[in-house]
Amino acid sequence: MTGAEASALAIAAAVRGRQVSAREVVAAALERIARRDGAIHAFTHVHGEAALAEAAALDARMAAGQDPGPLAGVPFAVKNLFDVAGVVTLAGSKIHADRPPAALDAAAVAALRRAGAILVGCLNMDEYAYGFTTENAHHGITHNPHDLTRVPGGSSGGSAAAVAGGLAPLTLGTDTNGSIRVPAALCGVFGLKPTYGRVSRAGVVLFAASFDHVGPFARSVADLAAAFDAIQGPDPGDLACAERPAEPCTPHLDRSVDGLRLAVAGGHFARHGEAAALAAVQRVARALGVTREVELPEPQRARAAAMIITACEGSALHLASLKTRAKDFDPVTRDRFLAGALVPGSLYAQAQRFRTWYRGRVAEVFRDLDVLLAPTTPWPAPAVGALRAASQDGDAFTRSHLGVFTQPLSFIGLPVISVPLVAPGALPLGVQLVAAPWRESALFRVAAHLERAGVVAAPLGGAAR
Amino acid sequence: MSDAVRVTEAEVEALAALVGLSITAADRAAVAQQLAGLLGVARLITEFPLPDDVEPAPVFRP
Repeated sequence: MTGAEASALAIAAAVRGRQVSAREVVAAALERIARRDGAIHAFTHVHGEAALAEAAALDARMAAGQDPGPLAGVPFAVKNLFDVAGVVTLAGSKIHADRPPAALDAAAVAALRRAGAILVGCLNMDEYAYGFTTENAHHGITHNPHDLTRVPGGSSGGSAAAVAGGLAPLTLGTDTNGSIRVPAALCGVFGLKPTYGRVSRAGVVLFAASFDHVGPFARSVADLAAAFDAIQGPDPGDLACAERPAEPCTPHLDRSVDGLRLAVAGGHFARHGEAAALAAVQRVARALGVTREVELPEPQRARAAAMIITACEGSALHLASLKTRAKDFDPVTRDRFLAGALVPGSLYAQAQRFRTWYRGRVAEVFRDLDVLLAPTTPWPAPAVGALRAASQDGDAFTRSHLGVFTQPLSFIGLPVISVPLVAPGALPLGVQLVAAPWRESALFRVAAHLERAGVVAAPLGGAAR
Repeated sequence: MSDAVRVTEAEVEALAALVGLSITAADRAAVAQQLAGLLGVARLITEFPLPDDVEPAPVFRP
């Protein structure tokens, strides 16, 4: 129960059943990180002795008769834009490295710790979450555990690679335009972008606040649900967090998909990907018996509006640093943040007005639909350096093309699970399961059904074996 | 996406000055390219007619 293959829930059951101590589990995880992360480079900070001490404290609480929580002893790690008490929150930057350590844990980190999980470290990302590759000029390149010559996706690339590499069974990331779903797909793991407002972002360095989301990564649907259930719910510390009670998804995993109205996304979502990415959707559709196709209205305009809002909000957030320390930005984010600061306000407001219109039209589509299937990315993982070179050679939007299928969905806060398909000898691909707001339970029912049917799974990457 | 928009380095320099940014000569070409890209995709929004009663999405709750 201390091996890389162990699921989070199996670890928690073993710790709670006293078959293994939390300290033994965490020590094994730290040993794996020390042995394998040199090649993957998912971690920018390893919690080390602090994690061992927290695990020992959990063992002591159990010995004293206290309930250690549903995720007792489960090692987890977080994208380095989450505050962790006592650790400097880098947000992938050089600039934030000069700030003092965080005083408190981010809300989602604190929630996982309350559930008994043990933080083992912080994970690499694109600077300030503005990227899809996790090739970071300051903190290094994270490599895909399924093929170390390829990127893991981004911006939560370290979060996906740590799970695919067997370094931690649970991680947290954030998703603004695809930053959970893209790396989940390219690394062959499960990733959930919950409904906007479902999970608190308190203590997280934001990017584009209008559609920043916090969510988990895992190698099984049940682990993903357990992590989501631990972190979801209202929080007055996040202005965007909804005042609605948590709706746990774990109880829905054993329900069948009977009665759910399913469809494949057509149009835009059937055009802009390689054949293999589109075939992955068809494989999932066949397994579910889905023949219906629906089109979302104006997804290209939605993507355009998402780009404008992202550029403006991200640039506004970092405007002071752009004025005084522009040279300290990663070269591939600096030009984009500077450009975003020059976009006229009328375009930003018009993009936000379009967002209202689009939200209404998509809501109409979901009146007779529960779950929509769409590809997560247009291609499998690109080679390290390929997209960075494209952006520097004048092809500014090739780099963002990885988000062609994810941006039109997070733009209006829809919940999405990216489920992994990993064929033997092939690179992983992902399929998005998309629902109406607050309908995560429908997504989990479909994901669990596909997992039971053997259609989706998250085997460890070769670098983990 | 819509037809390409052209932004010159001189325009970048002038716009940057208006918002209090100083963009180095070495960065201006890349920033011009990025800004042109953003203004290009923005046409997809501005050319799309919206009813007057469609408000911007964010809602402030006092």
